[in-house]
Amino acid sequence: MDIQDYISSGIIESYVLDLTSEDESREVEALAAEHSAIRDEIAAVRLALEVYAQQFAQTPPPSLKNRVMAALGEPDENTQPHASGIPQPFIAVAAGEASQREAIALNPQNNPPGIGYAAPSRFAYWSIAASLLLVASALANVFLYNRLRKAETSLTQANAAQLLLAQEKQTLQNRFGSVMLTASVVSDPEYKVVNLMALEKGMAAAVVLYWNPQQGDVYIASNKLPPLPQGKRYQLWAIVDSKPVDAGVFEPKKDKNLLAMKNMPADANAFAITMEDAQGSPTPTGKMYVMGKV
Amino acid sequence: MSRHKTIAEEELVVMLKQQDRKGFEYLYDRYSAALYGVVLRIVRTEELAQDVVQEAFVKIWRNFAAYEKAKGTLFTWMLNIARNTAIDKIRSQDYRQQAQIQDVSQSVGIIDRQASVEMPVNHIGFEKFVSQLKPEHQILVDYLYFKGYTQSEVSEELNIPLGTVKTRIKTAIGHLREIISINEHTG
Repeated sequence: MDIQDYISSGIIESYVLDLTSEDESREVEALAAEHSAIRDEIAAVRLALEVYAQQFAQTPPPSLKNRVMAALGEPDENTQPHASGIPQPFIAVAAGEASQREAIALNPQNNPPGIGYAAPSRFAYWSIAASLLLVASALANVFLYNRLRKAETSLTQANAAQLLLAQEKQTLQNRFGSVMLTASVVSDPEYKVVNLMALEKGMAAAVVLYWNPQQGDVYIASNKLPPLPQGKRYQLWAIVDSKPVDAGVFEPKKDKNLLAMKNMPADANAFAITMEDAQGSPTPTGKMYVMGKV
Repeated sequence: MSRHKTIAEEELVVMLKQQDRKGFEYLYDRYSAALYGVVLRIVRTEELAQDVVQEAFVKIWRNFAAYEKAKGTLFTWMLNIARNTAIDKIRSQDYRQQAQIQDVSQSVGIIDRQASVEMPVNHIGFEKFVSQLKPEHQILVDYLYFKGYTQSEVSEELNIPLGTVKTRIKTAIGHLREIISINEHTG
C-alpha cells in the first residue's frame, strides 16, 4: 500500500474525528504503529482540531472551580495532610519542654519514659480539639453550601420570571403600537376607505383598504379571501390612468392589524386584487378576485 | 490562585494517575476555558454549560485510570468526555425545557447575553482566526467535532450528499492546518 495515497484518502481525518468503523480504526492504528508518516499525520490533524477548539475558549466563572473541586468528593488518605506524615519524634519535641529538645533530637532512641507517655496524651488532646474544629467547619460548609444552592435556584427562577415578564411587555408593546397605528389611520380624515368587492356572485371575498391620497400610504384593514394554493400569493393593484400599478404581494393576514402595502399616487382611481405566483408579477396575469373604486 | 509554574503533560498525567489533587487543580486551570468554550457551543446556555463542565471534570477525575496516552492527547480525551456529557445533556428532557426558556430569552435578553457571553474572550484575534475558515467548513467541523454527529447525520442535517461530506472533511481540516501554520508564522 502506498502510504501517501492512504494519507491523502482522508481516512486519517475521519479517524481523528472518531468517524471510522472499528475495522478502519484498527487498520489506521496498525499502520500508524508501522509508519511514522501516519503517526505524524494523526498528530498534525489532532493538533489542528485542538487549536481550533481552543479558539472558542472562554473562561468559566471562578465559582465553577470551587464547585468542581467540591464535587470530587473526599480527598484520599494519602493526599490529605495527616499527622502520620509527620515523624512522631518531631511532634514529641514540639509538644515537649524546651529544655529537653536537644537531648531528644540528638538521640531519639533514649526518650525518658515520662516524656514518652506525656507527649502522646497531649497530642491526643490536640487532635481531638482539631477534629472537633474540622467537624464544625465541615458542618458550616454544608450549611453554607445549601444556602448557596438555594440562593442560586431562586436567582434562576427569578431570572426566568423576569424574562417572561419582559417578553409579555414586549408583546403588549407591539400590540399597543399596532392598535395606535390603526387608531391614527382610522381617525385620520385624509385617509379614504376603499371597499373591494367580490367580482363573482356568491364568492366570499371582500377587502377593506385605507389609502391616503396625499401621502400615498396604503393599508389593508381586513381581507376575506379564499385560501391560497401552494406557491401563490395575492397581489394588490392600483388602477392609475386605467393601467394597473403593482401595490405589493401579500398573504391574507389573520389578525386585526393593518397591513402596509406600497405607496400609491393620488391619481389612482380604483384598486383590485389578483392571484399571482409568489414572487409577484409586473402585470396582472391571474384571476381577479375583488375590485373597488375610490 | 494562578500558577506560573507549568507542568509538562507527561508529568501531569503521572500526577493524575496518582489522584493528586494539586495536579487536578492544575489540569482545571489549564483546560477549563477551552472545555467551557466548546461546551457552550453545544448547550448554548451558560448555566447548563457550567453543569456540564462540572460533570465532565468529575468524570475525568474518577476515570483517569482509563486514559491511555497512545489513544490521543490529554486534551482530546478530555474534550471527548466533555462533548459526550454535553450531548447527553441536550438529548435529555431537562434541556428541552430549558431551551424553551432560552427561546424566550433570545427575543428579549439580548443585552443580558451579550454582557455575559462576551465577558472573557481570552484569545485576541479570535474573530480573525475563525473567520479565515469558510463557513461551510466551520459548520462541518462544528457538527462532527463538537456536536458528535455522524457523517450521515450531517449529510441529512445540512442537506449535502454523503460523498461531499467525506471530501469536505478533508478539505476543511486541510484549510485549518494551513491557517494555523500561517498564524503561527506571522505570530
